Amino acid sequence: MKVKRVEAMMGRPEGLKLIDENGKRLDGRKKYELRRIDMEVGVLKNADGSAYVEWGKNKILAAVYGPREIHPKHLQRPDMAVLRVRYNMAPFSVEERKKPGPDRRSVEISKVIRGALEPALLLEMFPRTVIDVFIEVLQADAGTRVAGITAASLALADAGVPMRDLVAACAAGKIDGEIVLDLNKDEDNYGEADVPVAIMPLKNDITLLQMDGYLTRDELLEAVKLAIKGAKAVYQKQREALKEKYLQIAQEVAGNE
Amino acid sequence: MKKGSIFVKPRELVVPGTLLVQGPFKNGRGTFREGNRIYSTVVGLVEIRGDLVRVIPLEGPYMPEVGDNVLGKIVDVRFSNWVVDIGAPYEASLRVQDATEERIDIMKTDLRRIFDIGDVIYAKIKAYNEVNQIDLTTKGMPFKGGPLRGGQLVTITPSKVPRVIGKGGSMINMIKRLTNTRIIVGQNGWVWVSGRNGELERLAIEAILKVDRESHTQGLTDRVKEFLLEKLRELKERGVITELPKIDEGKEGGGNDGKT
Repeated sequence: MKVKRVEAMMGRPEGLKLIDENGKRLDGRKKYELRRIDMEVGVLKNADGSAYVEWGKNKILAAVYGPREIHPKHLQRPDMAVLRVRYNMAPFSVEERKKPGPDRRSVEISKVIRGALEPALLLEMFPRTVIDVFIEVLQADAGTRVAGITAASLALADAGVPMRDLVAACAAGKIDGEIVLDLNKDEDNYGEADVPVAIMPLKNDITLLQMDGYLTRDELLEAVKLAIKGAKAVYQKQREALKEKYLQIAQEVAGNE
Repeated sequence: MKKGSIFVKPRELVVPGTLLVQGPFKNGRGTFREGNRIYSTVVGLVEIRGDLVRVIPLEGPYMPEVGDNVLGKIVDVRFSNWVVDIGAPYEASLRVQDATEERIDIMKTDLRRIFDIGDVIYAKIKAYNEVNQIDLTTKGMPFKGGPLRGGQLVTITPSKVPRVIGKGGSMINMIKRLTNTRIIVGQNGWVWVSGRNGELERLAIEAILKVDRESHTQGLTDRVKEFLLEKLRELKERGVITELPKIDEGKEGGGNDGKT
């Protein structure tokens, strides 16, 4: 978690190397390698749309409800739907038990995720309604906001909410002086910077860009470019995951014949 | 001479943001235009008819249209109208004068005697205006609009209603005939199923959900028929039913309640 960076940097174990002589990282990945990502849509029966994403050791569940009537009524907008996003971490999602409920960090992340998803949605099709997105982090290992955006975007598509494009997200960062893709928890804690990026790949629109830590101008540009590349790989996986739900049924049917 | 290129096959499964066509095409439902290119906005199957491109969604909310026959559930009884849930993003309302032919003195009558909270009604969408008010009417509807007693209500994706009904009602009539149940399909994807025999009622629901789940595959009518016959044979062995219904392909009488 970001707030702990200063203490964590100080608590960095003596002689810990985030990148070894062979250029491999702590978990054996190369500099520009993503963690293993698995996605599935339609996992919750009672939600209008849902998705489950495993991104390295991150486990994230997203659910979408709506468009539906908004309560309290004064929040409604006469010209478009309201998008509400709740990012929440389960108490057991991190090593030290997290106090349940929203805190400063999760309120901020909910807000930036809403901003990342909103440009993709055709909200003006459903005036006076609300679309609720719930993102539950069941297990966290750095990069939960990008995994959350990825899952939420899948859940929205699964709910049949009209979208201009899927939103794909990925992070890049700097560890031991080098720009690398998709930091894990140790790299995030003991590294120098983390840059989460969300994009709509069709038109190369960036819908989320944050930076935590210190980077030079050139390093930032490099990191953003790298994160966009990562997000495009995530995008392909998202498209496959959405189709998979229906292809599986078609296959099952063909197999029975 | 007009020219355009098509990047997808007919009935291809697409996801939001897929480039469908470029050139002189009209963008229908489930698509959006960006310059002269048309993209998909939903997960669904592509349909290109002439120059109209659209995507039939595989999931999504019900959007009301005037003239639709829908099933609804009463959620509130007000002074002179009922509030009805029809599965749309907005609540629908049924006024007293749209519910019955006879004049009713609302000061003397308890509206709950006509429709009470929780009742299932079969209504037509009378109006749907700019401020998203939905007005219903039960006048001239089968069963006097309800309330529908007994039976079960199942929900399917609204875009799959045509598939459940089938060409000229072929699918729904087959399910009705084989399971000997009464079925009403609302355009909003709510389906009311009622049979004298609980087992058969459950079988009909299973068949409807099967159509909903496998709507994007080929040869569905035959597969559902096979499925029903197999289950019916099982039921016969267990002694739940005495004989299998006749499988004649003759004309179906009685009409289809849910088709219109």
